Amino acid sequence: MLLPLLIGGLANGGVYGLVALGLVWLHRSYGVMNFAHGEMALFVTFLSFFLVQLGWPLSGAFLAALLAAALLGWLVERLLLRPFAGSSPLSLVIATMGLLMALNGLSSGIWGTLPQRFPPALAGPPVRLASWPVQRQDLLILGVLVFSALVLFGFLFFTKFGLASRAAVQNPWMARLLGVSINKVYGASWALSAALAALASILFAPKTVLTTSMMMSVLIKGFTAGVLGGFNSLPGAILGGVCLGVMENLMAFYVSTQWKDSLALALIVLVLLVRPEGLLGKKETQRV
Amino acid sequence: MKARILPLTLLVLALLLPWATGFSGYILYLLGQVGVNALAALGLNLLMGLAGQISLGHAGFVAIGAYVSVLLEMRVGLSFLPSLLAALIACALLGAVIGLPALRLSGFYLAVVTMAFGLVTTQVITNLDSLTGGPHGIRNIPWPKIASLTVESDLAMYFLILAFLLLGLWFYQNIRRSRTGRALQALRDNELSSQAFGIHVARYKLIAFVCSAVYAGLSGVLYAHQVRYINPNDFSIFLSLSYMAMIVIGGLGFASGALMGSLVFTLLPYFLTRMAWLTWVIQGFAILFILRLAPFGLVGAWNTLKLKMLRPSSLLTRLISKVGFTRKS
Repeated sequence: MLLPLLIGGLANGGVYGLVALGLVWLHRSYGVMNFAHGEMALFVTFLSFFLVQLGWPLSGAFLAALLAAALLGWLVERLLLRPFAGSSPLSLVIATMGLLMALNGLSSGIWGTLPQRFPPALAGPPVRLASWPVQRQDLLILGVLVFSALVLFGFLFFTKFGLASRAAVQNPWMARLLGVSINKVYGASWALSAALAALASILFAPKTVLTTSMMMSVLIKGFTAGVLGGFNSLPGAILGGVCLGVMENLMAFYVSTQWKDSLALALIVLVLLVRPEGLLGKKETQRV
Repeated sequence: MKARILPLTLLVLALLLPWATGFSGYILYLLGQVGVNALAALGLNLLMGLAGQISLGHAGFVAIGAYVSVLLEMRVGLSFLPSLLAALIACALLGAVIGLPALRLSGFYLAVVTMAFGLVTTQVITNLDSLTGGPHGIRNIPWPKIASLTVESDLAMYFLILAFLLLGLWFYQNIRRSRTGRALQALRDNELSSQAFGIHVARYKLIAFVCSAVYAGLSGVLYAHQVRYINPNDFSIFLSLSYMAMIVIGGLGFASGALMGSLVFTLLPYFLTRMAWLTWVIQGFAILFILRLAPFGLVGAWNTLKLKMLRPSSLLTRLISKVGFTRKS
């Protein structure tokens, strides 16, 4: 019984990890916790659902959603958050919460609040793995997680733009002096982070039902994964997500499914109490 | 004394309002809701406006206040005031447990932890259905009874809420001007330098958080006794978000901002009953615009406008002087 539990947990954890990856990346590069992260993904998930209903092929609808997410992320940074440049982090965070409300309202206004069935990317009977049934969608999620982690890693460490992004994270002023266009880096960070969230949301939607309240608990899991990993380490985000997913599934099986979400809160509080820098994070120090 | 004229007029208006509305139960109920939300918003304003910390879980404290007091009354048989006190103590203790780990780190963590707290609270209440009635909630909550006096009409409830609101406002204004309030504002403006001045940052943040949790709990107790029916969905994260919209749009840090925001956003959904989603779109975009155009909300904008109007060079002053005041003298 353990193997399917583990794989199911890993798949959920992959979704949390993808969400956390975007959150942590924005926190590191932009210095903001994006509370609208989930709702941005929700909006484009509804968009791709709409396209599927229009008769688009799944792959086309998914691709369109990812592009729309990247565009949305870029627009949000350009139009809503850049005007706040230089104001306190508090107002940046409040702005993302305003965006959360507006996007959630728009989603339910356009597509309604009734739960919808979102088609899985990989339909079909469960695959037999060492005689245990494993859902195809779960395997797909794990594949996508590994793939996007590798792409992100390659992008950050083997391209010039990745180098510029890392420089901008380390020291924006110095990077700007050396000719890095910070605004482009910020725009790209938002686009990337939104696309990751959309990927997570599109992969997760078939495992539950598509509603306007779907992403709120996923967002919390993403935050938990981030906190577990230390909130400034990208591998930490993935590791945190995967750990959370597995623990959740084990708890759902051995204790009760009802208390699944409470685990996240208990974990956050525990990690912050015992080891605030998380599993892989570095201690935050501040120059006075 | 001059500065007191406006609040005193408002108070007299609030006292006379029931007569002006012809004792309409519905309007009094709505106004009571405004007061109930204003209390929670006031608490959040203490935390966000004065201390600069964000909470997305205030609805959780409102829920705890409501459920603890109602359960103590209906299951244990305590009367209104002791159960109110117990609910407030429960909120304060929980606030300390939730806030303690988060407040030692940067402000973002409190937002994350409280958001999780808010979601989990409603879930726990739903899951403990033998105690709390689960998703069906609790019906027929008794009217509050204080000593031999039973508050059992919308009118009496309105005055009870008004009394608690006044108490809340009085406490807010006093803490704002006290040593604690100044410490909170100092750490909001610059945590490092306030620390250098000897302010114990974590302790003061915790004080602010616990106080604001108590405000939320009080709001919950009054909500339960006014509506007399509670269910976990009343206290979703969207309630926390709308408290935030209230104070950001009313005015961060101003007691009057919480009142004004509560007035606008408690009544707005009643005008948009068929389009609940539009309320959220309006609240969201209003936050974005207000933050950009008037960071201290409507109250802040009004204050700057007043200053501008009363300047000697302003159009208004020049008009007034042209019309006669100078000619007469």
